[in-house]
Amino acid sequence: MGVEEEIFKEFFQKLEENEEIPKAVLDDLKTRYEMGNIDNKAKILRSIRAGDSIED
Amino acid sequence: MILLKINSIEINAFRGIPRKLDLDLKGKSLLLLGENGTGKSSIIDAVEFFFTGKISHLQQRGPLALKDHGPNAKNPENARVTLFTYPDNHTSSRTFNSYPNIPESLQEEFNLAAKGNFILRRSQILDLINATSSERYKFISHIIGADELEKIDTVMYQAQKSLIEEVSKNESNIQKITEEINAILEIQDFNDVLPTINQLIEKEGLILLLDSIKELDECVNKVNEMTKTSDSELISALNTIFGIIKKIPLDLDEINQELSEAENYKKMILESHDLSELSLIKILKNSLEIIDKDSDKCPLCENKVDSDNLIKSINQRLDSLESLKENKDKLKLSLNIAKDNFHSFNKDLIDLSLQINYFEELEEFKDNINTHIKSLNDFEKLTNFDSFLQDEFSIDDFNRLGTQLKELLPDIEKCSEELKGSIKPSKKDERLKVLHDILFDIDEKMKKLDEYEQSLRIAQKNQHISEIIYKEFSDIKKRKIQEVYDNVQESVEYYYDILHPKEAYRDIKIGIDPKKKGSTDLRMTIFGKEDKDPRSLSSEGHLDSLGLCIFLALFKKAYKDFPLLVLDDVVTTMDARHRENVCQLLFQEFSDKQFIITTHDGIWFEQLRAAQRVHDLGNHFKNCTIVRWDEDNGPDMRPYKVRWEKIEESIENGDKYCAGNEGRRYLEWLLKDICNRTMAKIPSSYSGKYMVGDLIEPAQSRLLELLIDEEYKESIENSFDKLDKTRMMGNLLSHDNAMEGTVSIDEVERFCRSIHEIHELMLCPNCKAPLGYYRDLRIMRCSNEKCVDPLELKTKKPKKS
Repeated sequence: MGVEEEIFKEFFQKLEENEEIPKAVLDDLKTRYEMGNIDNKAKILRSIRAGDSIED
Repeated sequence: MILLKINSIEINAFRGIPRKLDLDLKGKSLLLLGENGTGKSSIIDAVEFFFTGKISHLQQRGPLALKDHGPNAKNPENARVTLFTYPDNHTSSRTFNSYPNIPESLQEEFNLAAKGNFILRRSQILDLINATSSERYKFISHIIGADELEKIDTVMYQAQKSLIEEVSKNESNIQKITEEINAILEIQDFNDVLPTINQLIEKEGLILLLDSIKELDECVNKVNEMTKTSDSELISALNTIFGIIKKIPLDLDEINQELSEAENYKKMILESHDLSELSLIKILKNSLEIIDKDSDKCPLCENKVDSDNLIKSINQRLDSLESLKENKDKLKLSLNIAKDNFHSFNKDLIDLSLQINYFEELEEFKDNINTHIKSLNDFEKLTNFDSFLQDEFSIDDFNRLGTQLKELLPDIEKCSEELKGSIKPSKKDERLKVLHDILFDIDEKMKKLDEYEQSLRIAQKNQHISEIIYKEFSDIKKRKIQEVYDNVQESVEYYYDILHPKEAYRDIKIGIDPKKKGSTDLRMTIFGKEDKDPRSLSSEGHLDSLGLCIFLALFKKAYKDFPLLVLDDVVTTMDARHRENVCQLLFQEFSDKQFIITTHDGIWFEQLRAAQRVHDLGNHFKNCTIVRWDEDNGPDMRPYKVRWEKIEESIENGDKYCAGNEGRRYLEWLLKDICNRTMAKIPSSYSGKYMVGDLIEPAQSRLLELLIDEEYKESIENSFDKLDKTRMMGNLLSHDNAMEGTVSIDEVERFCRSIHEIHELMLCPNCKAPLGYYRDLRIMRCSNEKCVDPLELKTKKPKKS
């Protein structure tokens, strides 16, 4: 496993353990990472906003 | 994983290689010697291009277009690099328009190779050491496959910043709208909004007091209902009347224009044929098709006819009838438009009549208008092709109607103007209107405020999430990369120790700078001074070797199982002794790799060759030299021949010129090598170049000065004596000299053998590895650590300069 994969594995694990992170946000981030689609601000914001509709 | 090795590389029309160059390696490493500008780097570029599709040094500092500078200028359309793998001989090519076809079994290795980090050029070493900490971070990240991480870290940071700005923007909007509400109600404290609204309502004597601001919307509607009186309806009716009065003359003009056009078409139709003749068009067209212009017989009656004249007449008739048809169509179109205009005009008059109903004062105009409406209906009905052509529609009658209407309108307008002045809302209505407008404005702003507050809550929550995401990612990233650095750092120290044993350089530290984003700090202890930037106290050679060690350690970490390692002129600034240590490092720690090593430096080339023998890698290398390069043929590459073998061959063939020239070069190389190894003092040369005459004395003196063993010293002295007696032969043969004919092959042989004798004294008699001078240990010793019976000669304590 390369250093990038190791970092993301631990990163997602940490987010999963954090109750303040909505599941929808985590799932969206994971999907984007797997699709190699996590490299711009708008995409990250979209992931974070993925939790909006469910929370509100 | 199947290990990729190169069986051969075929380079065609690429960079400085205009024709096909076949590097047949059979899985062996390539050691290539060639002067500057002989195509060595083109070979490295070709390897890089094959694996990565790029030529990285073209992209640095002012990028050059790959497609313009990659193919050889003479033959660009044939540019191609083909690689044959070893041992399965899979063939794959890359051109500037096509990708290599990679077998599934080698996909993993090719993916790794695609980053190109198995190739090291000296310029990269300089970039690594002299770079800023962030550039160094980028360089290292690229090799360890973490370069995307910094980008992701940055976008996460930007997302967090963007959400902070969003929170701030919502807060500012809330502040602004609160101040606007306060200003409308003329209050200081936003908590006074509800009581102030109730006071305003109460002041108008309305029983609409609000318990909560949420009831404001309903309250606004109720006040609005109260302000809707008959007065406003009457004003609206009057406004409509004014609008229609303005529009009627325009409607009339439009109808007149269309009727005038229709009249023109009607005139043209009546002046031409009878409309019934239009049915002839088809017959005439058919007749044109059946009349044979080359025949003088009518195709129908078979009577004699003049075909040309007949066709001409038919065409004239057709033109005339088609013009009639066109006019008929245009008339129909004009009448359709006029009919639509009549319809719209009539609707306006009906609306006018309805609005007049509101006012008794306008009753007198109503009958007149209704009569006009009826007449207009009749005109509208008659607006069709047949009625118009048969003069049932009278334009004069219509114009009379228009004139009557135009005369009527100013009277209606005058009467309406008088009415407008008499219709005014009551005082109470006016006050209610003001209250309504204030409440409406406040209600709209409260709705906006509600939206901003909701957006703020979401933005604050998202900002918090973004902070967690960024912090977690950034912390993990820093820690993991530092772990990689720690791991690499151990290897760097180990490698550096091989290159600089027992030297005052240690404790190399490669670390993430916690205060700076995406930066790598490099520190080491130099001459007892801790945590120093290596650039502050190290020589260029030491910096180069540090860069090489870092690259090799990173390569080992990231490319552990990758079989290729390419080094392009990487030891330029290092002295002979340290270069030998580089050989040891490469062949001891990376012996499983297939190397491609290029150099322009004959001494380094010889050292690498000697190291091949020392490390039993002779059979794993293909040693080549580029003897010349020209624009049309590219590099002329030949297998390397040991110099002494070449000389012996020339002597055997009686070729005294070749033997003499090679001997002179051999001597020059040997003397430089001795001076380098023993750190002999050479008088400085203005040009920086040294001839044999400059080096003999320093080399001999230094050896005699260092060595203690008298027997060895005597051998050295004898050999140099022999050289001294014969070295004139080299000079006589190597320059245009009138006496060259007097030199015999035997004399040349004695000259060459005297050089070889000195060379032999500088090699270990057991393994033939060169002797190294270890100043701190005060010895000259076989440089091969694995030598089972190494020669070791004690040396004197070096004199202090």
